[in-house]
Amino acid sequence: MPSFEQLLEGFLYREGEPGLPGLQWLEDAPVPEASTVEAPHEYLAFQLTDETYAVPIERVREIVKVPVLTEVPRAAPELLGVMNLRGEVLPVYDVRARLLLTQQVKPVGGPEDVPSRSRIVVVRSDDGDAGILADAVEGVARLLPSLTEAAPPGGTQRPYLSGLSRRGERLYILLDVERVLE
Amino acid sequence: MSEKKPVTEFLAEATEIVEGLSRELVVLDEHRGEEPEPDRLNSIFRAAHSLKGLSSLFGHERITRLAHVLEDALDALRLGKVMADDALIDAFVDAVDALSGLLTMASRDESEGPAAERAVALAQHIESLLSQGPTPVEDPLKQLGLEPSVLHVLTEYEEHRLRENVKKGVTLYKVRAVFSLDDFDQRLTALTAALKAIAEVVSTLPSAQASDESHIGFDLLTACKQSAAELTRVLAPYGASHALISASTAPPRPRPSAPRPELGSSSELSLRSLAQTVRVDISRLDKLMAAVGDLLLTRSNIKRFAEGARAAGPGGLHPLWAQELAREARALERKLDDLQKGILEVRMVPLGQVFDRLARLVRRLLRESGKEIDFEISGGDVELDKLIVEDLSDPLMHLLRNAIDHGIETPEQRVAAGKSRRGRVRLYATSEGNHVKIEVGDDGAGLDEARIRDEALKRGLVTATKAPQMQRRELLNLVFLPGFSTRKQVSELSGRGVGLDVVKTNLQRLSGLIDIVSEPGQGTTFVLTLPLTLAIIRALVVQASGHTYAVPLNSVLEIVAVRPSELRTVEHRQMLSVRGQTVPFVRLSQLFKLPLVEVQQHYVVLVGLAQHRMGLAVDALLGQQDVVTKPLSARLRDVRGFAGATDLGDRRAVLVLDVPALVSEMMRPADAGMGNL
Amino acid sequence: MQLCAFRAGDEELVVDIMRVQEIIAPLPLTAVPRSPRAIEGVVNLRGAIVPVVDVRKQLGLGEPKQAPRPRLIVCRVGPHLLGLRVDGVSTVFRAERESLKPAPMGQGSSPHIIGVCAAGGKLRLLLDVRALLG
Repeated sequence: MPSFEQLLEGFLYREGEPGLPGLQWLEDAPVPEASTVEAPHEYLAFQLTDETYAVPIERVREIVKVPVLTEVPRAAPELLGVMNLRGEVLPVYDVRARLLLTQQVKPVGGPEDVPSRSRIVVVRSDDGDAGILADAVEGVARLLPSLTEAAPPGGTQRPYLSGLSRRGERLYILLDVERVLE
Repeated sequence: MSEKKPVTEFLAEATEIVEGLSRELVVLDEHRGEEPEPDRLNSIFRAAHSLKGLSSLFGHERITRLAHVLEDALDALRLGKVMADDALIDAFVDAVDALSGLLTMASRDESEGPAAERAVALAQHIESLLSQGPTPVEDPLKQLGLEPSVLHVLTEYEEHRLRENVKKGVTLYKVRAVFSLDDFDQRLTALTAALKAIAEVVSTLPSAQASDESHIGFDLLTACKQSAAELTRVLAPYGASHALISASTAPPRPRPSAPRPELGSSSELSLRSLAQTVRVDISRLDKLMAAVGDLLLTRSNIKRFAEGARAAGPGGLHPLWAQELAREARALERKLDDLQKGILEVRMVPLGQVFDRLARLVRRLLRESGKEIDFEISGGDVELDKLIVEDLSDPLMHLLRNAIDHGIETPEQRVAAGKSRRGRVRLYATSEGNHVKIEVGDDGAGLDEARIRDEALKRGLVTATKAPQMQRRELLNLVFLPGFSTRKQVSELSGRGVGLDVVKTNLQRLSGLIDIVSEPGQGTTFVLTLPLTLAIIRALVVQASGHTYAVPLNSVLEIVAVRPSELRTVEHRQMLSVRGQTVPFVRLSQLFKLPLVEVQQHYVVLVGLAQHRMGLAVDALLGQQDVVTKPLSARLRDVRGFAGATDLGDRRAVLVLDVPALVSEMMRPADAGMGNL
Repeated sequence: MQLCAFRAGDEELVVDIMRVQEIIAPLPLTAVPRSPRAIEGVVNLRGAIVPVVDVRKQLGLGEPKQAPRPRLIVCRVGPHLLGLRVDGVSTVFRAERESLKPAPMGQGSSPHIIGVCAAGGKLRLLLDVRALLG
């Protein structure tokens, strides 16, 4: 008959305590199947020039009208400047030149320099959140993983894209946020 | 580091406690003959208890012993075991006196003296007063009809307070309150505070009846002199009820004999007594400071709005309202200033923290060096931002070691030079407005100009044509260059893989300046100038090529207006002469490659970094403002020259210049080409 | 120490809070062949398979009188996780070591119960999670 103290040893959790023989079967037990119905992924679709780009919705922090931007001297031209988003300082980029949609980056100092439909898409990123200037925001697109393909080979934009997807007749170019902001 | 807390910290804390004790005792003394207020006795008791704990931690046995006796006596007093008679109060007053004496001894590192003897005698005296025996009391507690399970969990002190209240005929109530688990701690604290205004809360007991999973009940044993109606009124906002405790009404429900939760008076007492200070992670203070920074913006918006409302005149806001608004805006401004100052003060710690560590090290170095040196230290009470103080320890250690190893000559050399055998090494700190100045000096041989020149030539740090033209000041500054060493001055330090360049880098990180003052035969002094804090900074708001920038004022030495014609060119670089010193001049627009605007005169912001000075010209000065610098995104880490961005009140981001980075950029020979306007 | 109190049938039981990884609403069970008899099935907790024991059934307790609010207490057992299906989680509380006492003898006590906790004016049973599968 073990003493109460010994019994308590087992009652209290101890880091690195031994496993139970009765649970060894877990190692080769099959993981229960998840539902087989394909769930669509949600993307935010927006326009850069006349093409439609999309980023996973969980990447998007918010969408704001173009505020006054503060130019950062001696930074790369893609960096339009920094904006003050409720006290947080975020860099704002024009990625169109990088995607070869325009020849060169046009400086933007504030709302007066862009068409009224322009927006800043604020994206989350490992390297710090940032804003991307979009010519217009279309809305949320629900895209099926099975209809998503790799970006076509040979395109010069390729390193910045994570694939292409369709919904009906529409084509969405999936943007790799980390890469395009590098 | 498992290093013991420096003795100064002990002294500061202990002195504070003794001063508090003394204040409380004065009141007790004034009210002789009356029954002491329980709260006052408790607070004296806590102070004695804290002092006991603190002094035993630092091994001050005499203080511990006296504080212990004091604590015992106060405990007996608050439990009603002894009377607060004249003899006891006299003894208390003497004891506090003796404690101050002991602290003075401790500060002088003395171990024997009259104060010590007096303390021993006093401790014995108080003990003898206590042993004169408790006053017997019949126990009125039994008459209360509190169930045994409740009586069982009361502390001795709580029992005593119940007895006292019964004796005095104060009505006792059991206040019952049920709070949601989400906020019961705040609600209970609020209720207790409200109750304390009209009554004495003797004990807070958790209630056994968990009405449901999300609520918790409390019974507060309360002694209330006010009417029951008044009590009902106070309890109403908390949804609490009360029941009379008396011999006739035996409470119907069993009480828990549970261990008391960490609430209520007795555990609060033990917590408070041990922790007079709170340790706070500095990052939390940073967050607070950022919040204040945001509030400052709101303030300026409100202020602008108030001014606008006043200026609008008829047709705008009613003039009285506008006035009111302006007045409130001013009040807000004052309070915010207090808040900001308060947070800054919390971050401040005495330099003594690092000085004491250095002093120990210096004593060891002195023993090892075999030189005869007096070490003088002063200004340990000068306060600086905690983060800065921490980072100062290495650079200061370096400079002190330098002074001892290389600054001071051997006794023989000193005598031969007609100086006293014993050398002197000083570590001084003084407070100068927004800055703190720290000097590390020796009265040794001084830096050898010729040797520095030779070394610099040998290492190719200066050209053969330039070297002879260099002034002493310029030459001395060469010792801060990476890799620079003269056999005589810094060879051993270099052997350890570090040099004065590391000292300089460390200081730059703290936005500090370093200067050398050295006269042959008189000695060498390093003068360090440091900002008080890095958290919130006062900034100069400037304009260049239509862009607004903020320049941290702690980097700004002075501002001068200069006409373009006053500039001179030396080796294709523009230079400016300020009080006999020639400093490089550059326009901010030029540095930032912005389109240059023609100006009648330049506003030159003289900035400094370590030993370097530079004139940074801007087109206009817009004013000064307190700013909280927000970091620029990690994405922009390659963009040099900016410490961050701030908001000046118009919701735009204004870039804050990183003056150290800009200066070192200017000082790099590679950039020497950008001199022409 | 802190204990997590929960209900199974009409009994109040406790486990060491250090053992508890999380408490969740019951997830759908998947039966697994060749698993020990005490295991009702497994749930898929964010990709991890967690076997589940029904505490009431295992202790041979009856239906609760109070309406159950079923929960799954996910416990750590050595390197594995084990889910306890219970009829409701009551509270988490602090207890002195002294309040833990051996189970009274001779009441046909279950091998899963090693003692009682007498804190807070209640008697709660100490459930030995490791013994549940034994």
